[in-house]
Formats: sequence, C-alpha cells, structure tokens
Amino acid sequence: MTTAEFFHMGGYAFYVWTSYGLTLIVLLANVLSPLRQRRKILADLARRERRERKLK
Amino acid sequence: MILSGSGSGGGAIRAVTTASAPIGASFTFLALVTGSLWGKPMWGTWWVWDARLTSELILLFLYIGFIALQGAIEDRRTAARAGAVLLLVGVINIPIIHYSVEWWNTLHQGPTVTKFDAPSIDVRMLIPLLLMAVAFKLFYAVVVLMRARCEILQRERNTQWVRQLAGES
Repeated sequence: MTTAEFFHMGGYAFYVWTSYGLTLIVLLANVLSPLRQRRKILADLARRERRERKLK
Repeated sequence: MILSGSGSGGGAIRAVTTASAPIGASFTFLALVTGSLWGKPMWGTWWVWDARLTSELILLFLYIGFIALQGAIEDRRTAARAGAVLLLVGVINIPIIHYSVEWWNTLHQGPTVTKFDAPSIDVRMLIPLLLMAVAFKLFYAVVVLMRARCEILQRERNTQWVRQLAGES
C-alpha cells in the first residue's frame, strides 16, 4: 500500500479524515480549557491579593 | 442526596459531577458527528430520525441543559441540587439509548458487541474498538481530574493554601 493509497482510504478519505480532525480538535479543547481556566483562577486570585495588600 | 453534595465528601462528588458534564457533551457531540460522517457513505444519509440517533441527540441536549442550569444559578449549592434532579431525569435516557436498537426496528443496526452471543463484529474491528473505548475512558479520567481541580480551587479560594498557590504563580 502506498502512502497516497493510505490517505485515500479507499475513497472514503473525506469522511475518515474529517472524523479524525474533529475528534482531535474536541480532545485538544478538552485538555486546553481546564489548563487555561486554572491559570485564570490563579491570576485573578493573585490580583485580588495585591489589591488587598494595597488597601491595608 | 449524594449528588447534590450536602453531606460530607459531597463536595468532591459535586466537583466531579460538574466537571464531567462538558466532557460528556463533547463525547456525545463526537458520537453524533462522526456517526453522521459514517452514515453518509454507508446508509446514504447524514441523519434520520431513528430511535438510536434521536435518543443520542436528546442525551446531548440533556448535557447542554445541565451545563446551562449550573451556569444560571448563582449559589453553588442550589445549582448542584437542581443539577442533581436533572441528572436523575437524564439517567432514564441511558437504557432507552441502549435498547433503542432492539425496541424500534429502524435504520440503525442491532447490537454487535454488547450481547449474549459472541460479538458479531469482525475481530479486526473489535480490537481497535475496545482499545479506543479504554483510551477514551482514560482520557475522561485525566480531564475530569483537571476540571475538578479548577472547581476545588474556585471553592477554596479563601483558604490559605490557595492564596499561597496564587502568590507563587
């Protein structure tokens, strides 16, 4: 089997690779979203901390 | 009520429940979309209002409803309680999805793996299928912990250890 044949997927290339692509996007989003959320929570808390220290 | 997390240790369960919803919604979305992408060349149609497909779509709406409900209620305890009630209603859908291909004879094929006889699926498809099923469950375990960690950080934001953690970042 050549590489081109593999990517052609017996004529079903569009369906197969769209499925893989969408799955990859959704899985990546699932990993990145909590990482970003964690950074945001900690940054918000650090900002609150600095503000409180200034008020004292 | 365990799911609303009013007892001791309920907080952890609540964090996991809240963290699970978006992952469940993503997986259901993928099942519907990739199923549709498979259906077009194999059945000749993207979508039919078949029992399995429809009950799976209802599952997606239940997940979205759960997430929206949690977001709409300000008080976390009340949100968890309301979510738990929706969850109990939503669970009814699970056996309906499972048996839909037996109860209604529509386009979707009958079960090929979860039945009493030997699976009728070809072994060359069964092995990657089971492997991926395990892989997705492990992926769920990782992401649910990542999300639950954020939930706990939010809830414990006034404690010393979270303040310290925020100070270090």
